[in-house]
Amino acid sequence: MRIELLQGTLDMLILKALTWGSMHGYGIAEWLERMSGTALVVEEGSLYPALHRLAKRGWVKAEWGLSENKRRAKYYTLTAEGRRQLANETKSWERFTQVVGKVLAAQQA
Amino acid sequence: MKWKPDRYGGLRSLLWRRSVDEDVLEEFEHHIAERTAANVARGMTPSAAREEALRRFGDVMRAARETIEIDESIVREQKRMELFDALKRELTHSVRSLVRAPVFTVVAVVTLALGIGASTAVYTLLKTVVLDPLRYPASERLITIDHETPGISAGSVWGMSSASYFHFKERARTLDDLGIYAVNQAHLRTTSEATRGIAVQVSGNLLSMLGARAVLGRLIEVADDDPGAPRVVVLGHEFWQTHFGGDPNVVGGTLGVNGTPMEIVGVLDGGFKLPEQDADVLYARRLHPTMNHVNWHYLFGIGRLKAGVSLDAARAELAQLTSELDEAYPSVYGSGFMEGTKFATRVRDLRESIVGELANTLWILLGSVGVVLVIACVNVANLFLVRSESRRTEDAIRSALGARRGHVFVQSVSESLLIALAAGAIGVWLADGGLRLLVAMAPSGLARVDEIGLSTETVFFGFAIAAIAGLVFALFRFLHGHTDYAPLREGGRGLTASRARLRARSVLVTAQVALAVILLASAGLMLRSFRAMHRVDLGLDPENVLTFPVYLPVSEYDTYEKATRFWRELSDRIAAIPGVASVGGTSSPPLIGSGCAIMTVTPPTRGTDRLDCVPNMIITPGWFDAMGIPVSGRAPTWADIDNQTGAVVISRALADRLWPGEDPIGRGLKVPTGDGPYYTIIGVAGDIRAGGVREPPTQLVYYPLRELEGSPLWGPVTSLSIMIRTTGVEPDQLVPVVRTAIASIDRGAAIGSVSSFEDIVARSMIRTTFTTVLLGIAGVMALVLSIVGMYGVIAYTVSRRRSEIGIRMALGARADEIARMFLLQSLRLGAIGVTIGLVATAFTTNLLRSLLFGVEPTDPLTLVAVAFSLLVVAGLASFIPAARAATVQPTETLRT
Repeated sequence: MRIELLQGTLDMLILKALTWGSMHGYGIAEWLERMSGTALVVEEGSLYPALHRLAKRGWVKAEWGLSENKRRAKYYTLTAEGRRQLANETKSWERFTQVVGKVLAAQQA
Repeated sequence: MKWKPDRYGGLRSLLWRRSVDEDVLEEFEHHIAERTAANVARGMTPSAAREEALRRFGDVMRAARETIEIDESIVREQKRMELFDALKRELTHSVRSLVRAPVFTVVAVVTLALGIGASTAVYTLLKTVVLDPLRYPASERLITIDHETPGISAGSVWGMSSASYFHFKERARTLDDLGIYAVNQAHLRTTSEATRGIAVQVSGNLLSMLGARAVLGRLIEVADDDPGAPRVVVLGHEFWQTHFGGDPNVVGGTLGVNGTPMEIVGVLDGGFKLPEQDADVLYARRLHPTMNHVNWHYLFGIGRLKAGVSLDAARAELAQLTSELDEAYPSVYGSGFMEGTKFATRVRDLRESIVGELANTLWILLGSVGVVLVIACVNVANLFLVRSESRRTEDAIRSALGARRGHVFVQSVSESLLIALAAGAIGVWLADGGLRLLVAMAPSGLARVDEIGLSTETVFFGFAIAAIAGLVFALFRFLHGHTDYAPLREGGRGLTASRARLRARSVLVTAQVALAVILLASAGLMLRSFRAMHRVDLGLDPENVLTFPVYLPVSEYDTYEKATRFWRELSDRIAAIPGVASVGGTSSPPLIGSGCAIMTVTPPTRGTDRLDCVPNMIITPGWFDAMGIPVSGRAPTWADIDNQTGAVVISRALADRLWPGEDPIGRGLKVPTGDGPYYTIIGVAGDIRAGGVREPPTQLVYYPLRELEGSPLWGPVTSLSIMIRTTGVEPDQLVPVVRTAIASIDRGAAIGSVSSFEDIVARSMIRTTFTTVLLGIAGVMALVLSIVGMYGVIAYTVSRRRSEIGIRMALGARADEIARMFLLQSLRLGAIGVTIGLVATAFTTNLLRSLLFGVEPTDPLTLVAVAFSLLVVAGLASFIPAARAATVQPTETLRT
């Protein structure tokens, strides 16, 4: 099954990816693929506006560095504020899925 | 990337901004390259691998566009933050360092604010009164026309006559249009009350030429000039408000004007005003070319030049036409008249005719407040010098630690601007208050006074001065703040540098004193003029005299008997009021009556038919007593009027001219035209200066209320200014009683504005008073500022030379010698300033000449007094610091 991503969930997933440490954009894309299998359809190009938006909000920090292949790459690191944001979002996501799941699981009495 | 703005971030972000696109594309390229490599590793061909990578990446352009947009917004925001931050940092630093020196800050701000305030106020005045165009359409083409008659007396000016009006109107090709108006006090009767008002009679074209509009109904039009047209009147806006309560249905009603009922056809727009002329009601003058023209010059002429025609061209043409006037109207202008009066036509720009000499006064005032401003700036510059002196160590440390010259400059700019802008704000506020005061002070002496007030432009002017001053200070400080590490040396005093600074400050203070001398001398001369004016004997006693005009409805007082009965009754009833010493009336009160009507008289004893122009006044019995004018011989009585004895009084000045060395009593006097009888001179009145203190004693004939049969008639007198002399009562306490008394004779009699005669005297000197007060304020400000400046320099010198003083004292110098040394230094500075100032004064006070009265621009008394007082001030200013120097303990300074 292939799932289209909801608005805003990509941000959450990126933040989550970065909890593993600094990554460049490609690394994040790979991580997502690895974690979700092929279930998630992410247009890889859309990662970048999302990343730069997160940088603008101060949730991630960007720095140029060298990749394992000795290529110049931009690395993103989670900031303390980003970590807090992720915690909040994760919490509300869990509540959301819980409630929606409960509603959907309701049996006709 | 650092998200906290840093000091150099501004510059870097400039560079960085250029690479936003590259930055994003490089990042994308990396992604695609990695993916391609991974694909190749999984066995794809390089080209297929890249294709696959691009497919998975999606819309590269859209992603790039979005990302770049975000990055650019980041850059923008960051820049804004940096700028804001830098500004905040500089301001906080400046505010903090200013707050640390409150005395410096307050003195600098207040000093500058005074200078800026005064300059802004006077500039506003000048701009409104002199520089702004008049509020009429094509106002730059509007001119006034009147006639000069230097043959009668120097400076004598008459209005236009109906003959000269039509002559010019019909023939002048340089003029687009020509209109006239005449001004009278009129008796006005509404349905509910009788009052008086200023009635302006206009030619039908005048109001439209001046762009007047009606708020209700219509205005006076050309058709209203027709002698057969119904009589109609237009109300002035204020009159409509005060007497009709702004009634929108007023049009169609009736107003009695001098007893003639006229239909109200409209109300004038409140924003419109005739040139310096209020109007309560306006109606048509009804001149027409074939009327019976007489030699009566009572019309104000306003013309409009054809587009592109110069004032000089109009002057030339009207001069030519004037020379043809006696041929065109031989019955009005005999050639003897034209030659005798040296009759000429004067054409002036309308604005010039309104503003006239006032422009000079205002330019002089602007000059003097400009001087005050310069002094204020010099003082503040001086303060900055002192301050930069005390901060030399701080600056040196900063330089030594690597602060760049540019940064030190930015600092001094922000500090100076902060002070200047604070001063600008306070100054503009002061200017606003000052203007209100000026306007209140000059109720009748100032043209266009109702338009005066701060405008955006003048506020801008104030702040512009402030900003310029601020920048100059900054530059000044910067130039003097060259990196100087001397203060860092142990005990270093940097004596050479401070000597240069001291010289700069001495020059500034000397300049200040010189400027103060100029201003004080000007103010002193004006004060002397003011006092001289008040010492001039007007020939009458203005104290305890109440005066007001009374107007009667002309059509109801249509016979001499009725009019005379009223004025006699009025005199009797007022005289009966307790506290009234004497009462009388006159047709043209001294100092107000511009309209001494001109008459020609023949002194028969000399047998000459020389044309003379003699102002006259109609008076009632009792008037000389009420005015305190002595009469030798006797003054006319009511019996003289009843019996038509033709008894007149002439002034001493006229008697001396017509019959020098002889007794004029019993001589005759008449108007040369016709074969009418002679008036008999029964008394000679003491001289009065009816034209004001600047004029010589007026040559006057005082006529009775009723003229002799057979002489040209002025008709029953329906308006007089009443003068009441009181004893033991304040004049204004009598006002209600007097009003009741007049109303009890005829409720239709209208009373004009009541004033004391002393006010009228004061008002006649308003221009001198005004200039004196303003120059006085400027002078005192200059004086105070130079005291402060002088004190500053000496105090500073003393503090710099403490160790030297200590050494001198240790070597045996006495305290009084030390004190004298500083006193002498101060006096030397003062003397140089005073000398320079006196030389400059010789040039500048000449500008004041037209304003001076009874004193020369180089009046030695004034100059000596000013010079002396400034030297005294110089001495006083140095007294405290000199005394302080004398208390220096040798041990104290030797120890350091």
